[in-house]
Amino acid sequence: MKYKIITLVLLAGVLIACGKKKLPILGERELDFKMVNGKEVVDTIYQTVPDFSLTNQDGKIIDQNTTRDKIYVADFFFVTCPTICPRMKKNLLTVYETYKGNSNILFLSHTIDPEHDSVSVLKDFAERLGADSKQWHFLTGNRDSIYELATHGYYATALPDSTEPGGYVHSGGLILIDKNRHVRGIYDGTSEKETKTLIADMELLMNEKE
Amino acid sequence: MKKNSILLFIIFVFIFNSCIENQFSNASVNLASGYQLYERNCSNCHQKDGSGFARLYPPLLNSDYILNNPNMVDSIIKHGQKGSIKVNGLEYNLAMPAYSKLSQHEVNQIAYYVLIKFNKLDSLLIK
Repeated sequence: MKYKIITLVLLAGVLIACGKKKLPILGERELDFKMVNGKEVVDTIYQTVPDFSLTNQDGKIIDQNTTRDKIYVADFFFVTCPTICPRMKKNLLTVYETYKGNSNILFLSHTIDPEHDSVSVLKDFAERLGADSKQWHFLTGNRDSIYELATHGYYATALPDSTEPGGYVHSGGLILIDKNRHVRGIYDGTSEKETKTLIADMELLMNEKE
Repeated sequence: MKKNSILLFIIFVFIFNSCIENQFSNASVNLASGYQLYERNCSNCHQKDGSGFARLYPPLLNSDYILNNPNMVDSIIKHGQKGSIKVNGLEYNLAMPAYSKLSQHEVNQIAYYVLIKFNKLDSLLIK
């Protein structure tokens, strides 16, 4: 009898462990009440990354159509940043190397210093980093649009601050976006441990059923 | 007579040792604070082991540029570096900001660490 219980507990444990963890959808949500066939139905509407239009290192326009049906990792940085960006870029490069050539996965690195980080500066930076422009886009554009996108689209901080080395304060987050433009995770890009978690979560997301 | 010379020898060894120890402990104080300052100010880009990163941040470890221009280390930390430079056969051109908030003593400590720890330039004494 005792053994049976132990076996059951073990079996349950194994089953729970096998059951795949689902990543949460971050951000605000709204409840939408609808009447369907005379019955009230509640729909949860999750916040999505808004439409955007920015230019990559090849001078190509990158927008929501580029990321359609793709999983992507977004981050905010600037080329002359001497503080957290180099660590973020090193960790992001690890993620990129893991998924290099995988056409379902993109990387979008947004500059928060578009006055300095022009298309040609970003092109040089990307090449020196060893990033391929088809999969890893370094984006520049209108400063206000980028800051707005950072704050309201990706929950990232990006502000000019003369007291900071380099002149800007920004979060070191690597932001994971799913195929439906939902933010599914934010990871500390300066931490190797969190970068490993990001890769593990990307695996979960790729295997997720719609 | 013999006894005296032995005694003299022991005293001599003792003094000599204490001198070496003194010199050594001074050097390790310099290296220890140089290490801390390096970690805080330089390692984000040039990495903890001085190996550099991609073709963005040049290596400071076994760098031919440093071996050929040892006095530039101090100056680059203070004034920054702009334009293209060649390190170990590769070209780098990302600007490095000036670390003007560091004191001359702190700059020396970092340069000492970079020269001795990463390039084995023990013979070069930093002012």
